[in-house]
Amino acid sequence: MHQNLQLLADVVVTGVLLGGLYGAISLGFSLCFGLVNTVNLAHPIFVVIGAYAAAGLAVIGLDPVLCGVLMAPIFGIAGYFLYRGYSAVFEARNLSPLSSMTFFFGLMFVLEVVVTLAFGVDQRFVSARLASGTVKLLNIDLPLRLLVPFILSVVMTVGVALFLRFSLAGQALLGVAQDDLAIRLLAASPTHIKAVGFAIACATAAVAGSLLIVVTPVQPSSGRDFIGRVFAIAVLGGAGSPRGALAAGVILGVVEGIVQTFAGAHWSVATGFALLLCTLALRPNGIFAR
Amino acid sequence: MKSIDRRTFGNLMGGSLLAGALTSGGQAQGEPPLRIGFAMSVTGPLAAAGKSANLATEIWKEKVNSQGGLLGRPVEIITYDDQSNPALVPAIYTKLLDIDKVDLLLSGYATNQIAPSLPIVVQRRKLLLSLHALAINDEIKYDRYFHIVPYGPDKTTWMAGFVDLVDQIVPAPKSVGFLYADAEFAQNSIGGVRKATASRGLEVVYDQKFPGTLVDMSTLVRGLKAADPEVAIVFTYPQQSAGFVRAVSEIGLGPKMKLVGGQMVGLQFAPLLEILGPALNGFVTFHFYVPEVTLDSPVTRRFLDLYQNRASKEGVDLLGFYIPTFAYARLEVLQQAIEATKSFEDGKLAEYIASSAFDTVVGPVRFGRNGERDEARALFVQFQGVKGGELDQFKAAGRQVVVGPPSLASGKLKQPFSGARS
Repeated sequence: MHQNLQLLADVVVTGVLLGGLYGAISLGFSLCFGLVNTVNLAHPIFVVIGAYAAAGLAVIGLDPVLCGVLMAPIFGIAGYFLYRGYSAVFEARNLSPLSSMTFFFGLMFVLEVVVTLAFGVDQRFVSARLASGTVKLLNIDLPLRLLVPFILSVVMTVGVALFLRFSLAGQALLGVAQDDLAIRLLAASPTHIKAVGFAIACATAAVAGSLLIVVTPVQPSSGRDFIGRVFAIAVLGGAGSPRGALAAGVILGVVEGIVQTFAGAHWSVATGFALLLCTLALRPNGIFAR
Repeated sequence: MKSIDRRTFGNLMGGSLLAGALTSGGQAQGEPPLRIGFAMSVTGPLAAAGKSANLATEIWKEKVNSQGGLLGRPVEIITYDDQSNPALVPAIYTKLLDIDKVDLLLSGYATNQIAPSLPIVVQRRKLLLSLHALAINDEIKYDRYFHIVPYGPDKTTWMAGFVDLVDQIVPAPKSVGFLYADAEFAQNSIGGVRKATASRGLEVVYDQKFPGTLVDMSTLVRGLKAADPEVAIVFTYPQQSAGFVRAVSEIGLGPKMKLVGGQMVGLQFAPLLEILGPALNGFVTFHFYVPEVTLDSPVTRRFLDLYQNRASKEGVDLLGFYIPTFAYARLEVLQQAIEATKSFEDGKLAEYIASSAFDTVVGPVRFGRNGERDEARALFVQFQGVKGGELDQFKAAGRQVVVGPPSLASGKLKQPFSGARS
């Protein structure tokens, strides 16, 4: 009995830590989905590119955990212009949301090939000085490889939430998500505001990528593994909600861990989608819906 | 005298020029190329293996063409990326046969990718030389299928060699834990391993299947640790192999643990060896070639020198022990069969391959039941004394020590597991 409780505690703690990573990866997708009104299926490959960028900078001696923070502005700028381009082609012509989804789905594959050509196909994995070793807390081993990404994920989520709550740009973004026309009447450009939102989402991908490559090996196709999870987390947490993305990531991480340990790991694949279905049935706008 | 008007003259000149062009063109081109086609994963999770197989194929093609081709026909390789997605494989082979009209087929890499190609290959009665596919012909029993990697004729016995290592441990272990990927390669092997552990009276205290999309192995390692078996046998693919090694390094395993490893795909590839470095010490995995004294061969070394020289430029696996040697060897088998039969016909080649022995870079090759190699020759290697992440250390003997089978052993199994880690 005691052994089972110890195992349960271990599994829950691991689930929480891993859930932090899930939250970081899903944050940008959730922002795009909820605030920019874009189903950015290419977000996981942005995360993978962030991971490769971190691995590249790690070669010159920078700690990969910090590389993501350094790369975030560059990703943000690239994201801003990507959205402006996308908007000019799709939004300006009032094409259906399905067209935009197709665009980002296609972009995902194109970028995957670009990453393959640029970096090769080998798996990349880096050891971060800041995330090496294990600490013990109440008889539970906490690998820093999971703990440090969890802490950074929380910091990033709080940062984005504060930005949305207190900055003018953040409030404009919340406003444009609610009423595009009202923003136009205030002589502001919804496209510019949404592009800023998209830029923030891309910046989070840089940080999430640097955390991902510390936790697990990454290869050009790794983004595909996360499409289902980020979708489930965005819906579960409430699209556009940073704290929702983190909370839903943690819930998914814990539930996956418990299912893996006590019901069979092969069931864990279905966990995310089962949570998604339950959420859609009971609380269609997610736990932290605005 | 018959006069020729301007139009007739023009027609005659045009016709003769065309005829001349066609004739001279035919002479310049010589024999039509021999087209060999296959699907290979050059993107997706299997891409590292696929690209190294492609380099070995390219090396063979260049060598053959520099010697005048096969029976006077230059070799042309036609390959498509299957994106590590088995669902794309049947369409690729249909295209190779119907659109590209290839003469001969090869397989892609590994069980999950090759199995979907078999129905169309059988339907068209084509010869198929296969690469790392475990027992996919056991049910179909197709007579033109040949598999170059020595898993042997019985899928249930090749990994049992890992369980034989238990006999080297004193006192004999009493419990075992299984951790295995939900994939065909693992499923094909685990039955034989279960039988072998049961025959030694090992009690199964942990038995966990996991999906290929698992992000981190920590949870499963905690479960394994809580069950505290004396032997842990794992069947993992590259990402999970790396995750398992890292999680074991961080969380540890139970104090009773003597032997850890098994069918850990990925621990044969340079990138993971480089990344994991000393964390690998103590783990035992299967292999088919490592640079140990008991396996030393000048022919293999020569090929590997050639491969390794080009690998860094091509950005593929820098060691090339696992895939390229066999990717090259299967083409040597094909070449020797074509030269002996003086034919490109699938039936004649299959008949010859089934009944002949071949000299290759991986040593003598002969095929047995269901086109598998006539005897299993899996090696079980333990990582010992790995220091840092320098790749060159793996090119020398003593880091991947062969601990089984006894006839090829280059060192002793270090145990318990905690002792082998240091």
